[in-house]
Amino acid sequence: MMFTQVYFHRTRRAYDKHLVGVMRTLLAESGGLFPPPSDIEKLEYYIKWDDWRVFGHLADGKGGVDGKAILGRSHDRCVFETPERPENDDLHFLENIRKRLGDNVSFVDQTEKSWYAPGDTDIWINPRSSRGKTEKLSKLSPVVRGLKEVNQSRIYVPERLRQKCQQIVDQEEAKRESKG
Amino acid sequence: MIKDLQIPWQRYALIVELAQRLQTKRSQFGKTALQKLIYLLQEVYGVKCGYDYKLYTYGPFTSQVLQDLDQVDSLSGVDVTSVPTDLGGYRIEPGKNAAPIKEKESNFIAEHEGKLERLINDYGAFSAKELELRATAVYVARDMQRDGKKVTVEALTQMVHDIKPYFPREEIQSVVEELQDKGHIKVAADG
Repeated sequence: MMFTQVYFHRTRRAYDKHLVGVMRTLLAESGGLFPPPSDIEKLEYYIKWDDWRVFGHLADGKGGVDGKAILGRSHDRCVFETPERPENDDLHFLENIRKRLGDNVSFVDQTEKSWYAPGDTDIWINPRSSRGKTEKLSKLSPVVRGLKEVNQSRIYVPERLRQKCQQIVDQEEAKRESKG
Repeated sequence: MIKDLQIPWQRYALIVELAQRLQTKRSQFGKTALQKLIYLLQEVYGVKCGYDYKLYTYGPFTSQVLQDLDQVDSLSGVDVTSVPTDLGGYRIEPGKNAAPIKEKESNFIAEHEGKLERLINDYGAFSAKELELRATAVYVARDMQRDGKKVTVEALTQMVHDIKPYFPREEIQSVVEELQDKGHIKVAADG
């Protein structure tokens, strides 16, 4: 729930993208990246990049196209998303939609992080009942064992193209539905 | 953030292919074996699968394999079932959509047919624990080479033993020699 409703929230993810764009613009003189903290001078320069400094530049209109999108709340819009656990047909349909929207697409967002991935990364716990023997959390908890990966994909377009792109998606959805 | 869609169909097809090939080769094809076989396929046979492995508790591991496996399971390319044993393992078998997933990347599978065949012949019958040791030895040998260290049977055996003390030294040395004989690791003469 935390993952899809907070970290992977569709609007929040759009703002992630815009924020990255803003930072690239603001850090253009250092190649779009924070300077490496390799000496005191660079470290001090890095520390100066706090929230206030970024907000100040943003308010002054120095954030470029992405800054404008944040200030004007005209963030990129999600026009299509797959289910959280897409099936074969959903992925083929996603590929079709991506192709149909062509250059209109601003970005494609695909989940890569999992809620909980059993396996070697499993959490080992030491339950009281086991007398010092450690056990995998996924072995002891059916809830954790039952958690599945989220493999959702979303396609975003600039706000000004939203209506046009949504029509394309709707047409494709209708075609898909008519095929049964 | 990316503009192009990245669905790793080749990796999905590979997982299905391994599940099919190993169905008759071993009693239980589980997640550890899958991890290690894909690692060996990448490192020893040079099939580019795009996985970035790190050394974990049970040898080379990447969570990306588990994510892909989970997705292929969700697409019914494979069926992953929990095996009720003390070790809490899993069994991976071909699913009802195995054919269409493989079909989508039939060229990729055909291109690497020979390498897959050799992987299965060389490593397919080993248990998860035996694969863990072999994959770890390969990983450590490559890591030593990258660091400019001289890889001898003695040094590699010692290094693997330091990482995995629960394997007897003799067993590790025998595996190192086996990998050397197969030409899967480059080992310099001792001394």
